Amino acid sequence: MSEPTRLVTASVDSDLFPPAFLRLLAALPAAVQRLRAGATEGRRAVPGQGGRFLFRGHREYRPGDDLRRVDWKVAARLGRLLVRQFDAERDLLTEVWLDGSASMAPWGGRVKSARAAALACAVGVAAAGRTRLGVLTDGRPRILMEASQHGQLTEFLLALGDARPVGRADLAAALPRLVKRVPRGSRLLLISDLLSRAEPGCLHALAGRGLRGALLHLRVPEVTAPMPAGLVSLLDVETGETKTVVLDERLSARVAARAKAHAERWASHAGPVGLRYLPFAPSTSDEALLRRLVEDLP
Amino acid sequence: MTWAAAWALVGLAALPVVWLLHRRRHRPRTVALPSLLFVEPEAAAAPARRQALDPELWLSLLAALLLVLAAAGPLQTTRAEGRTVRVVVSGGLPATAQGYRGRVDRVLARIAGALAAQDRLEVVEEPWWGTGLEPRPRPGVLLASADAGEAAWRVVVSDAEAPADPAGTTWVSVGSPDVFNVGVVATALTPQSAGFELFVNVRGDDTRSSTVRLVVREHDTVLAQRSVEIPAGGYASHAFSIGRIGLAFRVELTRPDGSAWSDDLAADDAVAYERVPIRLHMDPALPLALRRAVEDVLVSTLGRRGYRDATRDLALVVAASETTGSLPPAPWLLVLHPAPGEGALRAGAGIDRVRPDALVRNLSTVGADLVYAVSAAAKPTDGFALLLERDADGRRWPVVARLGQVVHFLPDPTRGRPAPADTPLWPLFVDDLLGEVGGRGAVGGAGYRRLGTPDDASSSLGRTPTELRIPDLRARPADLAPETRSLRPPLLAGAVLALLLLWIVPWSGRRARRRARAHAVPSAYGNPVHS
Repeated sequence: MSEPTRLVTASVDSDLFPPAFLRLLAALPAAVQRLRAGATEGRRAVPGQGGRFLFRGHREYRPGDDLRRVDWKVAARLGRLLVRQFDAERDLLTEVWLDGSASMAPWGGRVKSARAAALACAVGVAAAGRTRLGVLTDGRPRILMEASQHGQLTEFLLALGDARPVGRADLAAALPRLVKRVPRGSRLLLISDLLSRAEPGCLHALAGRGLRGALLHLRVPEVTAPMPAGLVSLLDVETGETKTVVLDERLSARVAARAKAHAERWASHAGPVGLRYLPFAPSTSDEALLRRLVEDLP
Repeated sequence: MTWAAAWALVGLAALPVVWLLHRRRHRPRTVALPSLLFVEPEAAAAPARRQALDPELWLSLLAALLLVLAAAGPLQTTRAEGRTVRVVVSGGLPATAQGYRGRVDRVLARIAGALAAQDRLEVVEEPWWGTGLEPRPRPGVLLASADAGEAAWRVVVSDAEAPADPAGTTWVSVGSPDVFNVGVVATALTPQSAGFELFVNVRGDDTRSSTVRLVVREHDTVLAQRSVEIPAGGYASHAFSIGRIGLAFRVELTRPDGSAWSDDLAADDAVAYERVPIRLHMDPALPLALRRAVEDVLVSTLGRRGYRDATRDLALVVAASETTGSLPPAPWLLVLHPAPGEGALRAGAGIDRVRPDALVRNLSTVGADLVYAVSAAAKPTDGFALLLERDADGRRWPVVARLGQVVHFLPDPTRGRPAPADTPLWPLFVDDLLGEVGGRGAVGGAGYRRLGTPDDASSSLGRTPTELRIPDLRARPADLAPETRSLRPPLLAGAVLALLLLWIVPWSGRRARRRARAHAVPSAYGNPVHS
């Protein structure tokens, strides 16, 4: 039985993750290998027993050590038992943090952000590394799931299905707390619509920790470039605030300009802290999103 | 205003429905958005004002209102059922007497007060072109004028006494027993070897004798004067021998002490003469008999030496009435009718029943500014000259002068307008053309004719008033049928126009809604749009 089939039978939310998407997830390891062909197996060596190629040095033999790692030539030359040590060829820890605020839900935002998070987790797992999934809600980071095996993707999907967008993100408070949770040098994928009044400068809380990754900006066209619709009453799903406006061409243009400036400010602050700015929309195809994740991620 | 289908006015109740539908259709759709972060705070101020000024709403209401009203079929009653009262007021010289107009107005006010709102009062002055210098119209003319048209009650108001048979017409005499008048009724200017002989005939229209002084003066210079005794209701005359006179002179009545003569009728207290040249074009085809009539009218109105009351040159074209259709354009036109009762003159049995207004209509197409029309075949005393002058608006105002009467011309119509260059006109004096045929008032011969006889009341003022009795007009058949007009077509046209405007004009709100529908993106997960 293939992985997608097992995922479907595991009762994942079929609205969020339809069979086509599950098939994409099943084919993702091969796709990652294909897309990353020619690259090193791991982009970063971590201390540990490791494999056979990344020789780090010798140490004295301790009882219990694997005799196969004893360097007999050195023992013959020096007269004492030394054990060869290698670095493990393992990828870095991938941190996937999803904006869990209510603003992520409308206009297909929840679907696309959940799939983006699922794809990010899948990429992290496919890269043979640990992957941790969490959400930012009401200024607090909350870990949903951590795994390192591809077979555990189902649990990621279930966790994403259970994570209903609610409340506010409060990025200004959430990011400093997130820094304490994220290990140094890990890969951080932050998925958010950035519809917050927080200043983009709050991203600098992530600076100096060797983080690399991406800021996946969910841009909903109905918010960032609304079409003229005449007299409408706009309801903010997060705050419940209502504004009755005449959404004509001039107002639409002004809204688009403000949204564009807002995105540019967040993008300009993401780069210095090691995050690549990757905007996507609910209409972005899953394949295109996956390609950008694999190709653009450091 | 009445309605053809008043029950359709129930449709007015649809107006609030239209308003509600419009409001429901245009009420703001609630759109759930992730955030209003990018919507300016001040953008929320405009919608209420914009909605109130929505032209679609007003056009919709207008179209609905017009449709309902058109369905109800409003009928506009322009005239209610009523009666017409035709009042003919006698004019002419006696009408210029002091107090006459006030007495007439009181009669008219009483008649008007007796009318209902839907009744109509027609007041006609006869002669309707009156300058106040003609004699009083004959009773037959006044009765005929009152008999014209449809009227439930016909009234003649005059200072003269009622004729024996008013023929169903109410004759109201507004004469006053207190009137006092002495006036010149005829003058004649006859050339003599050493100047002129001026004959003056004066009538005392009063119940007592009067002594007046006749004064002939040229400007401020007295040429001759003579006191005469006028018996009650009688005449007195005198012939002055005066030498060569200038371009103008006048003969007037004064009191024996030299003070101005003042009575109730001032118009006949003086007669003025002026000598002016005229330009005359005689139609070569004009019969000789008609030439005589030309002489008559010219002499009677201008005097054989060209003395008249105007000071400007005249230009006349003389032709027979049969040729009026091909007359050349001329400032003045003299038209002769060779026989009574022909053509447009066939208004009565004799020339004295000719309606001058009918003749005016007949001549209305003549391209002349001034028209004389005379009758040649009738008795000279019954003939008349019709003077038409085009005013600034292009209409013609006729002046009728009976032969032998004093004629005051209207201001010269050629003033400021040169005569057409192609018009064969020659500057001639009347006496040069016609010769010595008689003086003013002398028709067809030498000497003079005394106007006004004891049995001719045209130059005397009425003294016997009669009581006005107003009949019950409601008992008479209505001659004024009500007129109604349906307003449905213009209302329907207005409704169609409003609907077309609604459909054609790309109102901004409708365009935005269409565009929004065209770009609507269905939500895949949870519908955020609540309409």
